[in-house]
Amino acid sequence: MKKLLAIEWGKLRKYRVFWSFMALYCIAIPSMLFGLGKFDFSFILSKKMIFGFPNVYAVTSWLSSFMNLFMSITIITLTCNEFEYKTLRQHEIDGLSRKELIFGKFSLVVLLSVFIAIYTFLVASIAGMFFTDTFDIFNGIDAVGVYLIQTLGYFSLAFLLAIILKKSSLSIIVLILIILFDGITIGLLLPKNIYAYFPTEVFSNLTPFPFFRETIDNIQNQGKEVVKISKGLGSALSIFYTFLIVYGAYFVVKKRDL
Amino acid sequence: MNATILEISNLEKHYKNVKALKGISFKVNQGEVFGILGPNGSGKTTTLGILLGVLHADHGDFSWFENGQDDNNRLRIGALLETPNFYPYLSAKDNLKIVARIKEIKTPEIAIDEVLKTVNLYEQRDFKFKTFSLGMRQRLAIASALLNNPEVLVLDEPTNGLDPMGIAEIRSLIRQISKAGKTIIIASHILDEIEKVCTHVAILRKGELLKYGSLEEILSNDPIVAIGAENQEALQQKLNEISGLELLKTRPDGAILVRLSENYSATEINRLFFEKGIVLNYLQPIHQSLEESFIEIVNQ
Repeated sequence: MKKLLAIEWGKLRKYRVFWSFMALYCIAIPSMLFGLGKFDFSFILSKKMIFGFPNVYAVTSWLSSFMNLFMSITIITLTCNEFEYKTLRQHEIDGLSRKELIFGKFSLVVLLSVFIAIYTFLVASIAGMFFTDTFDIFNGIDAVGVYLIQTLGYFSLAFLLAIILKKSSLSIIVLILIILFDGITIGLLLPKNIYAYFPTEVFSNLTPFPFFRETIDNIQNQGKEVVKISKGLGSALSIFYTFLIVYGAYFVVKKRDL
Repeated sequence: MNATILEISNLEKHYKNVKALKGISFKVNQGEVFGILGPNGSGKTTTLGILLGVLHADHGDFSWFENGQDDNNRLRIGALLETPNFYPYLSAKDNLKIVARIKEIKTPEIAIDEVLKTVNLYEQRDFKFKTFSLGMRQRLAIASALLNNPEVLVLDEPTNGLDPMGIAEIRSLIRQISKAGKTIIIASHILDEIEKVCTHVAILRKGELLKYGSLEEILSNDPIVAIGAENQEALQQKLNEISGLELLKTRPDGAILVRLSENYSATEINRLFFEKGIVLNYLQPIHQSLEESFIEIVNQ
């Protein structure tokens, strides 16, 4: 594993595109949080409610999740580069097994998700300390954990698409289509109680808008019965789907001629 | 008898509608410079692709170092297959560092400097790969193949994109490596390239192995002479009447290439024609080149 990480690091270290993406992300999250703070919600929610512990974690995770697509594009770019430069093929020739190829690359997905979780925690905890008198840092931190599970799911999906399609532009388009339209098409075709268990739906419901859940659900479902998966079940399902997706990627690479 | 480096048996591969390999078997022993020869599309790269793990064979088996198809076998091989594949945004050196990690090389810095010097890219070691010319890319790929001081070097069209100087350098490099007791497998469609460096040859055509053996075996056919006379037509006519002589082809300069199935000397040939009333004005024994053997084998 150390070998695989060292190989991936060698590729990333001097890859400007990647570091620009990371810098943009790192600027975006606090900016979004700061931007949110500019609005005056005082008629319904106090700043302390939004930016204080424990809610700050859920709020920041919810905000950060808007950047998931952006980071998925990073994953797609990094993965498709290997096909474009034929370096995956070269690694195989040089002596890596198919398993090492796929898990080496997937380790990036994991690292990126972990980085995002840590970064989200840092940004949220700093904001929380400003708006809370108590330094109850770990209160509400589970939201970040759930967010980690979500990014793992999304990024794995992006990774699988990149592996199957090999072309970054195509993969990005398909990912956007899936995210934009699966809710509309599948959501309309399938009854809500089945659709609620679909991977993208499960992933996206892990970081809901943190306030007025019931009201929003009621509006969205127009009084119909609400199918709600608990956070625990949602997380477990997410992890299960992530495993399936990664195994799918491995299966594709194992069977394919490179 | 030297150790077996590679053994393949009955390898088959088809792409959609095309049968690229129709059951190829051969064996490579330690220390051989083994040339895989064939026109474009004969299955050379497909064969190497299977041996190097990037293609799945539909049928058949192969084994490196009598150790089957273990992925770790490839850590003992240095290979260049088709195009040089590197990260364009990394320098030559940084690209080789990645290869060094894959190959688990103990002292990468030393190994990298050494191979870069070998292929004359040391001065350009910090240049990005994307700035390299075709020839430089090919040389970097060869450097990469040499990086782990491999027991076996697999080269697919190694002189692709190189200028005559570069070709000569690669040839002398191959000889040098071969002298050190290493095994080299080269695929090429350039006969001259194979003939000048190989000890053993396998000839492929349309996915079939036509012939394989040592270079002498491939070349050791009946002797050939080129003959000429004032009256070419009469010469050809009388040629058919003499047993043990077989017309091969007429050369552009008008001389006729004749294969001798009986061991005639030059004097005897001259006399045979003289008896038929033909005076030869040209008679030269021909050392058969691989090219002639190759064309003969492929045309059979």
